[in-house]
Amino acid sequence: MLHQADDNELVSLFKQHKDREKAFTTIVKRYQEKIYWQIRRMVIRHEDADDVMQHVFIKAWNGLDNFREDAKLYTWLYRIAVNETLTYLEQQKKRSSISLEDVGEQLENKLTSEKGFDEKQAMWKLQKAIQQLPEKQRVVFNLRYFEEMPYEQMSEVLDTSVGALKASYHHAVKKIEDYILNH
Amino acid sequence: MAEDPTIKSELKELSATVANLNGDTPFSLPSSYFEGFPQRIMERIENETLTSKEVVLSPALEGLKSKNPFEVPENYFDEFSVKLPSNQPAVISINFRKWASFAAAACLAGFILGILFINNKKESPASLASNTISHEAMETYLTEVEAFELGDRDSELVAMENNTLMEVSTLNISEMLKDIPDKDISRFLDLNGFDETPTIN
Repeated sequence: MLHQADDNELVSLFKQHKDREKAFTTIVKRYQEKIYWQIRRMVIRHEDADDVMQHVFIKAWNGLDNFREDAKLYTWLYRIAVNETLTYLEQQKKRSSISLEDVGEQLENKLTSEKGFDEKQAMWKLQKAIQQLPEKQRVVFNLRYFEEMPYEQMSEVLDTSVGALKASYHHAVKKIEDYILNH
Repeated sequence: MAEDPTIKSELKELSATVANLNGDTPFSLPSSYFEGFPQRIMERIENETLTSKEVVLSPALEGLKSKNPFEVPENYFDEFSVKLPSNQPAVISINFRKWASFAAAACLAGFILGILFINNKKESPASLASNTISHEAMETYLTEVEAFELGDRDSELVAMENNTLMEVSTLNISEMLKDIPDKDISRFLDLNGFDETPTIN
């Protein structure tokens, strides 16, 4: 019956400590796939995505008591996911002591070693093109292209103006087009 | 690939190439991953909750550390003194004969040490020499040596009989010695205790 409750009802149950675990489990089941793929497109490897996703939902559990219900739960979760992903990538960079250019190369290597990778297939080529983008631009492109997220919602997730996000997305598309045509 | 008409048309305007791409995500993942994830995350949250409860207990104990419930009599530490045990060991007295022999030995040791000390105070030849050489002469000597060391190395400093130094180039020395027979040079070196081992100039 909980799976039919809307986000606000689930949050309310959680805060009242009524079937807290069940309410949270319902939230996880509702949003895990969207959150997972958003993370996965950034970190490439499944194990890394799983790691980040666990951090995301643990943070959500710890922060849900203070969640303001005027905002959308989905937006709030996405925000945590983006921050955790960028933090994770930053940590990877520091651990490896590699430059920004090398990060791109590292992600490309992860991509090419993925099961079923075929450079000739358009979807793999697109992924390679996306990995060339700067991190935040990559996030914007993924949210708009794959998640079809409105700019207004994206603005809440990324705490960036709609205008800046539009510009970022337009630049991202041009770069991807350039890559596709030249490779 | 975007299904939303607004996003689709936006993409077509920006790039027909990208708009026509197959936008599926090609990554694979373990089967039943999403079925098992909620339970895994709840187990992890439960474990972390238990761990954090243990941490909450420690601060309480930490807070009690500085609180001491015991009382101490007033001025206890000001008046505190150590009472020594009554059964002190007996003082051993040394008889006069033994005391006198110790004193004599100490005097003799002192006399011998004194003699040795006085002997050591005798000045070394170097210090004696420094007492007879004037400060000005010493200063001149040291200045000449320092200047020589900073300058041209193709010469030697030769000590003269009047305690002055003369700088003589290696070439000049060779010139001066070329007319002197080798056996005379050898005899000179032997008389003055110099080693005949040739040096490379």
